[in-house]
Amino acid sequence: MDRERELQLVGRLRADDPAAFDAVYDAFNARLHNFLARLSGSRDVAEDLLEETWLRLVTHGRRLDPETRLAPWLFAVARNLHTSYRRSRSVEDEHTASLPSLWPSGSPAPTPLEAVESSEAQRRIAVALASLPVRYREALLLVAVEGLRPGEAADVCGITSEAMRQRLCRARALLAQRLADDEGLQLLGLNEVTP
Amino acid sequence: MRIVTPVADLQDHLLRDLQPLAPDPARSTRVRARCRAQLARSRRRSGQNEAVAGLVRRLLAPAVVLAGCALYVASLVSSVLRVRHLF
Repeated sequence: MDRERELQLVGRLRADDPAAFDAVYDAFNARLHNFLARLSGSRDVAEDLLEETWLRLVTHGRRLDPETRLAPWLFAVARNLHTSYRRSRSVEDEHTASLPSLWPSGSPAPTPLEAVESSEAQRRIAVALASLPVRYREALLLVAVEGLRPGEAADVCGITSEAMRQRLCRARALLAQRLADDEGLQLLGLNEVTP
Repeated sequence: MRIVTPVADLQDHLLRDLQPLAPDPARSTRVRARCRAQLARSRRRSGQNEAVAGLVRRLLAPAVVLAGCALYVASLVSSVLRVRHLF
């Protein structure tokens, strides 16, 4: 979406224009869902947070700054909602930790997300990505998957550009380590390319 | 000759090629409809607010000015009559 069209859409969103909402929804719904699903590891949670993200846009549309960049704004809302969700879950987990016998024990079964991955390479990278701490996962998702600039990703996460660059560096190193641990790169021959 | 590609580029390539996890179409339709309904309500509400504001601008403001003028003229007439000892 070019900047001129984006500014036009922001202006129309400020006037509660349903057609502008539809255009933004079509452009970002799948991307936001992918981001939230990979961040949370659950499609159900992603759907709930996605709905809340869109409702926030509708509620706050009139108060958008005319210069708002839609992608960072929407991803920031989605990311903040996920952070709040995790906080509330950690409180719940504290309460339920004392009741371990009610849940099945042993290694967890593959999640539906893992089952969806069509190829072995995709499965390995998805599993390695899902195993990263959230702050690294969100950095990689925003920059490498969603194509945001590091500066925009920094705005989304509420950190400086320099901190985002460092976070990306660590995230990539950690991802490479996880893939190596899984023998992903070696098995696939992806760390070296022979012409 | 072997060319070693930076791991970061390969990672980004793999991440970009991850199969997108698509939202549930039925729920997406419901969410869109809910948001559109909320937008419509918001538009209606703001339309009503603008109508009230327009009414105030068009009727109330001139009425207040007219009332002020009437008071002024009444007080002027009253003063004149008092000065001429007619009242």
